[in-house]
Amino acid sequence: MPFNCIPATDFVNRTNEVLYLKRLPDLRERHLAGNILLEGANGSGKTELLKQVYRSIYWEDSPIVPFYYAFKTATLKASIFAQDYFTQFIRQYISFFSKDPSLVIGRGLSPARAIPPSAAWLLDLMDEFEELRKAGDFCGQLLAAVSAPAHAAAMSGKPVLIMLDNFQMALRLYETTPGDFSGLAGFFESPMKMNLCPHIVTGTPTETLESVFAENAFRGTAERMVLRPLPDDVARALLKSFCDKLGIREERETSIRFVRFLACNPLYIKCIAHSIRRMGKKEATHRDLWESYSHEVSEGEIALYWSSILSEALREPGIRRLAVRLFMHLAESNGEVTATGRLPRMLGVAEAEVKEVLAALKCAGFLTGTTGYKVPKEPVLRDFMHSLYMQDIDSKTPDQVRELIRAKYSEQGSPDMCFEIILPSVPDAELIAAKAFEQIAQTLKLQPEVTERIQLALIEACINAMEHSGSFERKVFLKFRASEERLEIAVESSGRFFDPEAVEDPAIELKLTSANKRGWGLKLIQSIMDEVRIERIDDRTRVLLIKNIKKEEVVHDTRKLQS
Amino acid sequence: MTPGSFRVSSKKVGDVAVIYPQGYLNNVAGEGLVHECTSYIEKGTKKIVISFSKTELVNSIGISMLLSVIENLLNTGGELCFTDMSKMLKETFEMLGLIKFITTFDTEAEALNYLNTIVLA
Repeated sequence: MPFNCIPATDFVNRTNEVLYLKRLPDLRERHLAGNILLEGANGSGKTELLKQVYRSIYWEDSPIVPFYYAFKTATLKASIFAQDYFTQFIRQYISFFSKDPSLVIGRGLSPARAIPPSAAWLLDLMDEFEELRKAGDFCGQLLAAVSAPAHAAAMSGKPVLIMLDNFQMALRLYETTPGDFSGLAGFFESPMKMNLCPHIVTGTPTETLESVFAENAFRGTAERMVLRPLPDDVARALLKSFCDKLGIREERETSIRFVRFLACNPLYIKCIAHSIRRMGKKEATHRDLWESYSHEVSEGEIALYWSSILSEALREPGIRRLAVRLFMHLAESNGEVTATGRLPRMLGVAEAEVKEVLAALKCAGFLTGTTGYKVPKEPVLRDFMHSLYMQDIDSKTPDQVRELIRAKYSEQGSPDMCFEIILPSVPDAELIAAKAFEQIAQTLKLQPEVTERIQLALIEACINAMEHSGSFERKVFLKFRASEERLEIAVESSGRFFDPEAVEDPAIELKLTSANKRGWGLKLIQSIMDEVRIERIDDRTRVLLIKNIKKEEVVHDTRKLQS
Repeated sequence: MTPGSFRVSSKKVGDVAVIYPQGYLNNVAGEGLVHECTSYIEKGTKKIVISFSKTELVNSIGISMLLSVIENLLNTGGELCFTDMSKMLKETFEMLGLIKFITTFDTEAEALNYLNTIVLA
């Protein structure tokens, strides 16, 4: 249901995305935008973004009519889907004009009785659909259902913003029995081409969605919007906000380290906060966070979330054990593994069965890989599958599983050092940043050569911030966060967003003869740091430079540093 | 690394111009370097050595200025050598591809020996 969403204040750092999607009908009309293929990791907030857009448009005096539909396993039979889609649309359409949300959730007046006089043509639409239904014409019903928003937009002149969630399931629409009819998703091609009906389509995994839009019917109809992870401090602010509401105290540094482990995933953060409350804790200490994590990943809401995706991917009963064994086997392997050869023999399973399960796991986002299969780095997914392995294969009790996962993360690690500097945007100010880092590097006992490289990356990031932001503030904000294992430098400036997608990889041959020989900064930074993230936080651009400090990059004999 | 203000000095050794950029090679300094090299090229010098022995840091803007020097000299059919580069500087030039258009030596003397052996049209 589109109204089942979190308060807008808890939906942090996505203001630009919400605003852009709300403007989509206008942009589409002026041929400045197409349909949107909304991508992002599991739990990154794609569904929530659609619902926030829906709610925002719904309660505004907007000329745009929002329509949200989530594909469900239970309604994949074409005739049932058509009925559900059509009914949902009619209810949401009428509800929008009467501002009565109860119509959307199927309570209150019957839809027909709530139709305003200006939209009497909806009755004809409903009658036509009913006739097709009685005639058992499933293609006709499907066509009528998916065309209903376009029909309404044409009749009223009011654009309909169509938001389709779990769109990957459209590939599984069938006539009588699952798999009997492929290509029913193609019915969406025609409405997607209508300017009055921009579509926002999302789901997981990204590869499956992208494959839909690479097919002829959909080719060129969508542009990608990627929901990237929240920045560390925004993710921590989200955790704090949940904790504050639940009366739980938390500590900044502990929380930041923890949300970073969760890949700043808003779904995980919400689950953890609620878990801490359920455990009756008043404080989110290091121990409490990991205790709730071990619960969440083995039998809590996070486990439930991944279990439902796993069940969806492996609909045949009894196959989960094999999937879990395969996953854990791959988790211990380096690089990609193929479904043929040793793997089926080692597990004592037929090659065809291994192939089928691996393909299903990949399709559901549990595995990645180009030519073969490998387990993603995400520790939460790994811990979830590990807990299933311990329960299903090792026959461990839930208490034992929780304890084993908690013990894995019981060590606190070295505390972070934090420094902040504000630079004026004046010539050579970047050298001040470099000098400041020199002191930090000495504390970290970094090899001089490593220090120099990071200084160069930092200088480039500062120059970039000073040159590209065009900010009236004329300041660059630096945050250094360092532990023995990891260094993070955030370089922030307000003003214009620095869009890395707009930067072309410079080619030396072209640059040599070009009038513009600049544009090496980002390439230099990326070559030096282990990870470079460019994030937009409200009106600021943050370039986050991350370096994982290796043992050989540290001076163990400090006399060498002084020489 | 505490780069000081930039200066550029130079000398002529036979038909070779040797340039010494000193300090922090950024936009302003880079223009000074380009100016120094151009003045030699305009007088007909086709062999240039840039010694980085006194250069403390080259940023991306400095790199773009070095590209201008390379372009100017290549247009005249000249030869450019870089010497006395720190390990980091050499790796940076390699990574960005500048190394394809220049010849590098550990020392200025080696570069001069090499340039004395070649005849340019």
